[in-house]
Amino acid sequence: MTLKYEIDFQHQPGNNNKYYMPESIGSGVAIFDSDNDGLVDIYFLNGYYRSGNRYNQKKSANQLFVQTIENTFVNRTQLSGLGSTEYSMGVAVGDINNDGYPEVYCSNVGSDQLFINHGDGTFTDITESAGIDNLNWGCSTIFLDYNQDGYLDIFVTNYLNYDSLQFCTDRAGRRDYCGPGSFKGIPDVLYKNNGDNTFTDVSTFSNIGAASGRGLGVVSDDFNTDNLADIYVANDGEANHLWINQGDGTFLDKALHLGAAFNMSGMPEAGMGIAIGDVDGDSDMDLFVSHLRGETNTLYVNHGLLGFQDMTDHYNLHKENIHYTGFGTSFIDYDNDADIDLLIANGRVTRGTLLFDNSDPGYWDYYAEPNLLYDYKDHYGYIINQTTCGDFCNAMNNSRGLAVGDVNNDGKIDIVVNNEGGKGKIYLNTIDNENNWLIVDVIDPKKNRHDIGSKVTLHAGGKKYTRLVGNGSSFLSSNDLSIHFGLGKEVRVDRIAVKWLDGTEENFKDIKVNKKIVLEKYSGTINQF
Amino acid sequence: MKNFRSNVIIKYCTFCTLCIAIGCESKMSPSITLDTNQLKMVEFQVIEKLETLAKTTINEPRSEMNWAEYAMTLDIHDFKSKATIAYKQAAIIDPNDFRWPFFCAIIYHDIGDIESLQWYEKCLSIKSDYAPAINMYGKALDEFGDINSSKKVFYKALDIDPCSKMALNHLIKIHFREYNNHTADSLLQVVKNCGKTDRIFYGLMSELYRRKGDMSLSLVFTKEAHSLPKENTITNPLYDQVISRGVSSGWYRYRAQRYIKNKLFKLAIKEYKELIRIHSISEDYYNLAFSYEEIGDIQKAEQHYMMCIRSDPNFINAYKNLAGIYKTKGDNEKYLFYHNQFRKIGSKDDI
Repeated sequence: MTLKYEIDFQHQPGNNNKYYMPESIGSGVAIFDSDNDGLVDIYFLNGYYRSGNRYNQKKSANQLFVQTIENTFVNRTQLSGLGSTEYSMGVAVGDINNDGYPEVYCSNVGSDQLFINHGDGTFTDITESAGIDNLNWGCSTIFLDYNQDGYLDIFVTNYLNYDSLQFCTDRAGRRDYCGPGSFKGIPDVLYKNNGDNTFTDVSTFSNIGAASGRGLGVVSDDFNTDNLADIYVANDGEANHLWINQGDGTFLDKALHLGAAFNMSGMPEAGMGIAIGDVDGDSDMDLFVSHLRGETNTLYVNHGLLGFQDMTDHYNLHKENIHYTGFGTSFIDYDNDADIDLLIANGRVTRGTLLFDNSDPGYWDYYAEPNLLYDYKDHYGYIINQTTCGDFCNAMNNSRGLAVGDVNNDGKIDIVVNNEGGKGKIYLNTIDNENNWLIVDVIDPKKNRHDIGSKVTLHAGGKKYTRLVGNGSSFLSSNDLSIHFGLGKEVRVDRIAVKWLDGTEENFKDIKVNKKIVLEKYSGTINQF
Repeated sequence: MKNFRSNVIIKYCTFCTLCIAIGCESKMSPSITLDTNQLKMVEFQVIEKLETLAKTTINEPRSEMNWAEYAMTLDIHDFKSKATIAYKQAAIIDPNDFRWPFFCAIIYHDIGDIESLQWYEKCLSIKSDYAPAINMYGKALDEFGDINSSKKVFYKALDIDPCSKMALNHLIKIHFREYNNHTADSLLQVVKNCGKTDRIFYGLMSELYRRKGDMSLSLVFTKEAHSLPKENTITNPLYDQVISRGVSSGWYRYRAQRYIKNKLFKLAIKEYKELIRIHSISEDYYNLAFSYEEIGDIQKAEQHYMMCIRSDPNFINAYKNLAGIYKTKGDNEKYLFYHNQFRKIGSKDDI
């Protein structure tokens, strides 16, 4: 189903036998249209290249690959100004000034960076003038409008208080990467957008700064249906946070009360990445959190006001993935059969047994694991599909960041993966079937951008399918903002209901399938391509 | 109150660049070769032990224990795939010893290889009443998708040990999965009656009451779970035979810390003495001193607290404990010195 497309990106974790812990966490990747030409581009984040104690920054910049014609990517890093040479971890994409051009936020080990998009394919680092000053080890990051002022705010997970002088070994006494248990978690950060390309750190006021945690993954949704954006954070080896928006600029952590802090056994797990999607078809968003090997990845099903329930076993997700360490993850309908399937990008954080024949294994081969694709089947839940999955599952890498989107505009969702110490990979979806599809952009003309946080429910054939407008999920990565629906054999869409971020609802009709459409708020307008 | 320091972090071993290939050939025996890549930076004494054991399998290839020793040593130092070869050879030589197929199964299970099932079965065909193997087999069956067999196996484990925590926990989860809440409830009562009410128990109780629709009680149990330690206390005593073969500094430290937790200070001292001979850090000196203090050997405690301070002049608890020792001894001058040092460093963490 997936065919590897080679792209000239080599992730440089900087490993030089000093076992610097960020090397084991890796970097993310973003799929977004950097120049508004209708073709998505790909932005890979990078670590450092080190030779001894010297950094060769040219070899380790973040890289932007612009799609000029379908399936042809040109490296425009230098021209774009996005070639950050920091040790980059997470990436978020969002239009902070509503000019129609998306900005890029990079979380780093050290000072984070915000790049403003000039609309001509170039960006400028405005970190300092914007008031961004997160000097901690930032990880997954999202844009959200938590105060509904029409401007996108920024939430950054911070991982831990790392001390590079600490040494850890494996069981043979060889030096290896330290686990998170050796270090204390730190609070995450919330930046409020002031509407003038500047931000205010409201972590303390909002209560976000009051809780420490080894944050790695983050998503946002209105989990308690009060029309306010809440925030869910996956913490590594500690209780997860579910920040419920109080509507007055403050949040309360209700993860324990709402059943989203621990798994069914009451145990905190090594939260890494998060996939968000409506697994049970009740129109609210469920959460899938990837974890360390030895733990299952956990599916928290959202029961609305009754909170979340660990239904990993019920959905048959308690088996194969227990042997791997999951990072990037996403719900996608890879075969357009109208249900949501699941991707997990895997790789170890400590050295392990070689899982494949290799007479001359490299440094990262001892950390490599296969990626997984789960097919959703009614009445069974998720069934592993390694046989027709193709290159995405056959590859044995140390995968971290994973982003999804229709890269080549063929109506099928493709996958991009950033591999620790390996080549960046684009896996084009080659599935060959007659299933129908629809891709939807949900635009608020007043904001001149996607209405991040709104929900789109498609009604067809007596069924409904709900998607969240938002690109921040997975691990350290940012998906394409366009929403994808697989429709199976349905040739007619009855209607699409959009619940906008402000809670108002709007219906759109007369929709043709196998198209990319744009829905504009309050205009009833559908632009079909 | 004094605490020992639980820290798995160690300093870099400067001599670990030795690379060596260990080979063994025999007409009847398998060949196990550790390549230079795998041995890069392995601690010297680990390589030495592997080399010695490899030679014993060459010299006496029909000795079950030679192969078993070699297998366990490979296993515990993470040469897992090589260890399976040696375990299998031990199992061929002595087909009546259930341990080698059991350890082999654990390795395959760990990496998600379905071959683990046949090795658990082999183990249980030799010793059908060995509860840890039954439980692990049940877990593997569940992970590989055979839920019904898994259930049967866990119930068999309960026939042998009605309070088997692993069997009970898994069965409760399987019954939840099947929406058989009544049976899950009954099994939770068994856990309670067995006195094994740990964090997992409260987590599962929370799930039970969530399913009953009593969200208030569910939250009470969630909070109870949250208040308990994360540690999973399920142990496998037989596997300690493998763990005891660990000769890397990490294993000495692991065993020593485990002994301290169980207040087995003399055993902890033995491990720390070996560790310090190989490669130690300030925490090791501190914990050794602490263990000596606990068994009343104040002189050695004093000596090792000093070594801890020499290794890390900011190791605050060593000053504090030394001050305590001199106060008890009535050596006011030294007491004041170490007490002042303790206060000067300032942090009151870990006191």
